[in-house]
Amino acid sequence: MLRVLLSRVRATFHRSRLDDELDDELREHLAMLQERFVRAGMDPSEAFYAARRQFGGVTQVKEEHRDVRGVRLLDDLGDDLRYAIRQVKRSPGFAVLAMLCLGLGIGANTSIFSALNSVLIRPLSVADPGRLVTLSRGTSAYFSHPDFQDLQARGRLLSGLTASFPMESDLEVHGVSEFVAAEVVSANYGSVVGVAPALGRWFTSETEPFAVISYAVWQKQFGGSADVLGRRIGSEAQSYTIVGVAPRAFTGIFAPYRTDIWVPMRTRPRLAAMLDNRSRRIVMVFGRLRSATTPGQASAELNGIEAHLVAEHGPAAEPLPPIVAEPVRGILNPGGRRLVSLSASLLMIVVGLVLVIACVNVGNLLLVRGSLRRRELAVRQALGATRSRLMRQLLTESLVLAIGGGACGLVLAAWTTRVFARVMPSMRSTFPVELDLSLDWRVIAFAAILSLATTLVCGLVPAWRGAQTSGVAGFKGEIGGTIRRRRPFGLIAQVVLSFVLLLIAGSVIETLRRLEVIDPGFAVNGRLYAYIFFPSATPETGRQLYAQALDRLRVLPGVLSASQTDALPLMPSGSECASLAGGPQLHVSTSAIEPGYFHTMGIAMIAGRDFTSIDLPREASTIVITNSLAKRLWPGTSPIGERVLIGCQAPQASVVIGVVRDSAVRAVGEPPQPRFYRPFARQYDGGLTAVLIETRTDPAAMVPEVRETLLAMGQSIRVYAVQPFSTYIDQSFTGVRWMAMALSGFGLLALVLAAIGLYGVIAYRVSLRTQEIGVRMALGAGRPAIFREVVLQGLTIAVAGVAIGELLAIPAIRALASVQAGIRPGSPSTHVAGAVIWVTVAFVACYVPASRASRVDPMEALRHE
Amino acid sequence: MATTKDRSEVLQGTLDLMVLKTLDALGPLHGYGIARRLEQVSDDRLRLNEGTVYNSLLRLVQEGWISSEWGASESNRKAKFYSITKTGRKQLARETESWERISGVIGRVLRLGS
Repeated sequence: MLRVLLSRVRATFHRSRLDDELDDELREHLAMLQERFVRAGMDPSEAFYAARRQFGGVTQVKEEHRDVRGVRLLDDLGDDLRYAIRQVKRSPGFAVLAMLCLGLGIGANTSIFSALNSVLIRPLSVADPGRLVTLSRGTSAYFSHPDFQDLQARGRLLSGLTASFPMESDLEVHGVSEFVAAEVVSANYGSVVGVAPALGRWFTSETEPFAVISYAVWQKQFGGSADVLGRRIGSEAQSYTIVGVAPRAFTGIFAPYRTDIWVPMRTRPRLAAMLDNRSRRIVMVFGRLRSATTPGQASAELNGIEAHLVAEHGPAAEPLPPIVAEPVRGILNPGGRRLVSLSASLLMIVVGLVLVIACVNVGNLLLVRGSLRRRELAVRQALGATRSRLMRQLLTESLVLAIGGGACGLVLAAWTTRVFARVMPSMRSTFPVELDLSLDWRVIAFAAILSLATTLVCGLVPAWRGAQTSGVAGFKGEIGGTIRRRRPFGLIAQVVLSFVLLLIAGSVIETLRRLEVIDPGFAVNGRLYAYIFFPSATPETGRQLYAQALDRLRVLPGVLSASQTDALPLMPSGSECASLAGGPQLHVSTSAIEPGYFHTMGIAMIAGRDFTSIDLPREASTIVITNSLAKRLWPGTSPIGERVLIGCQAPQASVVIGVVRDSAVRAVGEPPQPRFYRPFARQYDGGLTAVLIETRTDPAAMVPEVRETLLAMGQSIRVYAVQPFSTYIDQSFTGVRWMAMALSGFGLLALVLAAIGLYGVIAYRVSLRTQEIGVRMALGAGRPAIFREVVLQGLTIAVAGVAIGELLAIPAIRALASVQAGIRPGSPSTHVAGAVIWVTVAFVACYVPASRASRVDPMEALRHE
Repeated sequence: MATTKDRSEVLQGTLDLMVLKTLDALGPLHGYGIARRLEQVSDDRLRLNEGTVYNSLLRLVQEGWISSEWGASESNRKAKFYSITKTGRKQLARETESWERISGVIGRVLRLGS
């Protein structure tokens, strides 16, 4: 079968040569027959005819030969394509409008798909990415280092297992420090993940202070020079020697955030202290499958090993879900994947709806054209074209439009992704974002499939209707009553979809507005923050240095108060178990603070007192709790002076001395999260801290002074991100803001497309009714009445669409809220605004056709008859 | 002189089978030769438009059951010679067997009716 098809396809390309050959063959045959008859005694002319009689019709043989030889469909397709292109050229306005509609729809889809592609589908740029697996347990991707080592030592189905501890750290080059994403990794990281350095090598020891830097750091800080190897950089308290540079395409497991430095597992004293604790699940684990091993087999083996570990070391505190090994695609970090895939899939649905609107538009335009071409179709039918032949012809025309639209879409997508790549650095919250959005074959294939699908979606109904043209009616020039009577379902659907998108965009914008003004429980304005760190300090000297830093800041003119914490709000912070004697353990977040923190942050004290110097000695056990934790543990009674057990493994009794108002812990706008505070002086064991400063005037104006003051301390102090606290809070809205921008963009696009659709159909109806309007005017109908009627037609559709959209919007927004927390259905005013916008747009779309209808000259219109 | 009415309609598939068998029996032949052979073995009882042989040949070439090559005829004319291929022989065996089975069945059915 395939062979036949191939030979046919080949034959269509050698049409003329094969025709000539057949001619030769048949001519020789006839000549030989004729000769034979001559030998049998006929005279030559008689023999000529006899030979032809015996042979049969030469032309028929040739025709049939051609049919058998070439794929008739392919021949026809060529003809149809040529014809379709001619048709399209004949009405360029229609063609441009249709291609633009489809192009916008396909372009929007292709852009979002290219984001989805780079995050979730495209294999990592590592060696043999199909065999790289990531281990997880339920929703967590973190393992304890001893567990990892046991899995590594006993696993047989994985050719290698490696661990990575992703962390926020600092990178000091030529005396300048930067806040960067870092990975502290096993020595076999490079070989297991399959990343060959662009320069140099990976480290081979877990204890020697060697580092691999990112391509970006190499370019920016070292000018891409080859003698970067052997240079020294600093990170935390360590000095590292650069031994390698990561390839440009590999940005680490933090992606889409870029990792800038990789260092060996045991070169961080603070981390090393936690590595041998089986209950600290802190490392991510990646493995490389041996050939002919499936991820399922590897998971089974790992769970078997774990069963042995449980037998040897006893079960974990709480039951753990089984280990799952999954191949890695797109970006490595499960958290990042979840985040990006959720918002990208959401946007995919939105742009899908935009494309549906565009398809309905083009479908409507094609229907309109189809009814204008009835005469032409009737002629073709009369000349012998079958219905299926006509349908094929009409579908080919939509194919040409869809291919044009697809090309427009690709150009558009190439442009938008480039723009997006340029503005992406401004998305930078803490770390630079790097996402490869280039159009690879997957994206192009996606656009091609989309084009073919749109051909069918918008071409099928018009083509079917076109092919149904009855010859006689077509010749008489009767214009389809069918179309006029057709209920405008397509139009209403467009209005519904675009109205729902408008409402969704409105509710997201409203959410953003609400978040911006919501009271997070702490003061946002008039505060400044900075991250500081003393690389060479021990926990003891560190505490003293921090105290000195705060003293220096407090005496600055313009500073009202200054305080300090180990975790700013919205930053990941520690968590602990809290329980009453004999009661269940609650997991609550905690942070360490300096006395005066609540005052500096503007967090109101509800009961009791703040920490003072008597709470600072190590043996003190006082804590301050939030209102929500107080209500959970002591509903209805005062918690002041009560005892609470803190700690998951070996709980210690603490005394509650104060209750503060709840404030945002992980995100602004979240429900209250129980939290307790301990004094910084008691808890600090090294590492980065944040200082907070309450300023008398504009905090931005104090940035240079604060930075200078801190740097003047010497002690090789590292100072990062000195900026107003409001900027920091604002950055936490980046996700919602992007979503609001994208949704309003696509909502606007949908609105414009639907308005074009409405305009097109109303204008067409007016052109169909020119005669009727002429007659009515001749009989005395006034121009305003005609105008009103046409506008009413459009408005009826718009109002019906808005009403249905109103019903659908609520469940749609509720679904959205499950993806992005904090989104609520828009307020009544948003709904009213959406409805007003749509009705106004509908009026504008109908205005031009309506005023054209009211200007119909009765004489002119009737003369057409 | 024979008119079209006298000629028995040759079923397309049957013609293909006869052409294939002819090539199998006689080796490489041109279209004219095949037509002569068919005329000869059918004792003039089977009269066909010789041109249809060429459509049959094309179908067989497309299936890969025969191959073609340009050469010179006995009278030194340029002619395309067709010869049966290996898969063609296999197909011929299959077709022959099924033909015999079917014609046997049809024969029995027709006899039953009489």
